Amino acid sequence: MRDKRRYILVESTVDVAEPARKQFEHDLFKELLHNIGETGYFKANPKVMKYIGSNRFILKCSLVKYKEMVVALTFTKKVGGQNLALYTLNASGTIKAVEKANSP
Amino acid sequence: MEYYDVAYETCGTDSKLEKRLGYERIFSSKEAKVVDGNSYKGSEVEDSLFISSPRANIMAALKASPKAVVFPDSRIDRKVIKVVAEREVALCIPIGDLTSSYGLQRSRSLYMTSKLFDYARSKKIDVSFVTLARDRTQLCSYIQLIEMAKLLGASEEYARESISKINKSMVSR
Repeated sequence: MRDKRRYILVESTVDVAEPARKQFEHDLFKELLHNIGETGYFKANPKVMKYIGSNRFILKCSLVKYKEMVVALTFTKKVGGQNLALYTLNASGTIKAVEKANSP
Repeated sequence: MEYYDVAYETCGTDSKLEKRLGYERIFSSKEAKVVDGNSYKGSEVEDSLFISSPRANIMAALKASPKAVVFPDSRIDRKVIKVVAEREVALCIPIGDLTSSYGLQRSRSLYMTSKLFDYARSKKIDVSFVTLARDRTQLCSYIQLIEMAKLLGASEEYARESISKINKSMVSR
């Protein structure tokens, strides 16, 4: 059976420029791994689905680890040596619903 | 449900940011009358959000009827908690301090704070969860504040009630 997913709209306090996105994701996932542990990370299986503008992105994770993922994002205060905060603006079961919430 | 937070003016919050983070209002430390226990006058304590410190005379401060009290070290002093319960002062938990620490220090702080929360609730004390952020990196959305409250032992229902009703009452009581 397919795992149920949760899509989280995340806003960063710093801009993530186009060429640095791969590195940003790598550093972000390292931080998330530190915060939720190896077993938690494997169950959460986080993935950045798409970027919206320069400082927002949609993060996919498994529904069962959604709460831990929100806490892990709250605890993330440094990515790649840069101080930042990640705000969880919205969450939904589909990308479409999250994108709708993002539009003014 | 409308959600409220308290943060220092240094955050530079505005109505757009409040709306994005899902709050009805983020009260400034002036609106919430935040009083630092390191340097304060006795007359300032009434109706304030009093931040305890080793230098402050906490018993005298509690008698001056603050709206809420913060224990930054999260230690359980049973005598103090008893007075907090008797005088119906709310206990305020600053989430910004927890999220800005790291590693073992954060794990220890989380443990201490969850024990303080459990003990306070067992004495029927109202517990409020606010970021009390000093800068934007300590701020978080209402979704994150609810999850942090749940991490510390609150139920979903209590977490939501705390962030809406109790946080609002700290300013309007």
